[in-house]
Amino acid sequence: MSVAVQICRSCRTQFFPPRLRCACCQACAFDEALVRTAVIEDITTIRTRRPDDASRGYLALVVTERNLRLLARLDRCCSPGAQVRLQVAADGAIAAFAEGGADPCGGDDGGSPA
Amino acid sequence: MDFDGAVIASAIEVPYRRKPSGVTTMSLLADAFAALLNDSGLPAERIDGLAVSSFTLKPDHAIDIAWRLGLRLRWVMEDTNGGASGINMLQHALRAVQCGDATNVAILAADHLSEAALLHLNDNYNAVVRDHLAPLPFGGPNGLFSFVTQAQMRRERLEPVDYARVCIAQREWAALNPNAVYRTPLSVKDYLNAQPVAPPLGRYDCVPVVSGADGLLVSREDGRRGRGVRVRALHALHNYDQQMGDGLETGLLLVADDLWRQAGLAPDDMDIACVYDDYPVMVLAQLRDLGLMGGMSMKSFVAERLSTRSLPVNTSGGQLSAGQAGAAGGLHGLVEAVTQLRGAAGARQVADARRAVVSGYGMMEYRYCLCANAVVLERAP
Ligand SMILES: [Zn+2]
Repeated sequence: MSVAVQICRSCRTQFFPPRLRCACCQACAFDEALVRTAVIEDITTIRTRRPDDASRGYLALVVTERNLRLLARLDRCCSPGAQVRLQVAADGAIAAFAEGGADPCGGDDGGSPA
Repeated sequence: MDFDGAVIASAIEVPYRRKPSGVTTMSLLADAFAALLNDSGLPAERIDGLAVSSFTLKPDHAIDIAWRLGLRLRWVMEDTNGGASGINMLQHALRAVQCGDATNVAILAADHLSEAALLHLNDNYNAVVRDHLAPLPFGGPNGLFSFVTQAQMRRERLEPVDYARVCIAQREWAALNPNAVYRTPLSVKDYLNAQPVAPPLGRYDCVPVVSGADGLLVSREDGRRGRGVRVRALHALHNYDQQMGDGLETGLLLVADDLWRQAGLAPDDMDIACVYDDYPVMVLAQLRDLGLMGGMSMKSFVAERLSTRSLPVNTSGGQLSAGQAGAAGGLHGLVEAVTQLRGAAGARQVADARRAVVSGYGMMEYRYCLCANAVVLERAP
């Protein structure tokens, strides 16, 4: 399932998560847009003390072509600047999948989330 | 409008402890109330206002606490704004006392969070967290503040060692505070080698969860009580950027000029600063937004003013070393500043401390926190 974001019908600003009124122009009517790709701005590896914890993994801050920032679960570690495909996973999370040629990350954020 | 006629007459902290047994949020609130009465010398019958903040009150509310404490109230409020709750309650209590709605307001905050309660709170902080963040690899606010930290490092050209200096300076203060839960010296090497939590954040960038309580008494100024602290200015700005920025600023940036104008003072007049330290990145953001860095770069400020402790910041050790007792963290900095201004801070007492600025920050939404407020305090002559 694609990621749906709000677009203000009046000023076309995009929002996610959804608002009740536009934060820019206070309009109340929104359209929906589907966002399928984005670029990774930053990445981190969430580590917790519990080895079975489902909250471990790669978390990415991604930016869409309309400059909207979303948080997404990343399927594998890759570097900022990499292009990702976005989907809503069965558990409701935004999932990001690195495009084929994305560089694997190194440095501080590298390694397994385990 | 100034705050004449109301004074902070008392400030107490129920010592923070890691995983204590035989303690509940209710027992901590009761201990805080008893400590306020003891410190102020007021009998319970004279308390006619109550403000409470806690993440673990449910299903009770402030009025249920009043009933358990046997209080008859003319004024009551409950605050849910986490790291901004302390100054928010103070803001309301000052006006209530000034306007005559109450004469003596007890402001209490406490939490005893079990591991399960903390995990539940982290995943259900609000609807956005529950619906859009909890399904992610999220780790509570750690993931969000990893990104804010990375953005600040880029913009301010900071390195991990700069954040180490923030944590080390606070640990040096904590060593002088018998109630801080972490008091052993921290080195740059310790910091850099710490267990990663959400890189670049490691263990020492995250607050240790403790159980504890804090309390303030706001009273009508009667000219007799000796150790009171006056409020020179208080300003707040919440949701200032609609979560459309990068989280590197807080609402304090837009109200700082009004704050100093109302106080009739300047950042350089402050003897102490207590800023809400959920993460080192936000310590630096608030100090900058309040104008305390003057014309210095953030990096120079850390090296020359904060690391040297020539500007006393978070003199209790802050939450990073003293601990975070849930919503009591929203009062912790206020209690520390008032304690310093009353000359009651023991080994960590800042010599001749007369003025302090305290800021609050809290309530994470999708990417960073929404609430910010600040108060300028002065020792009564
Ligand atoms: Zn609009």
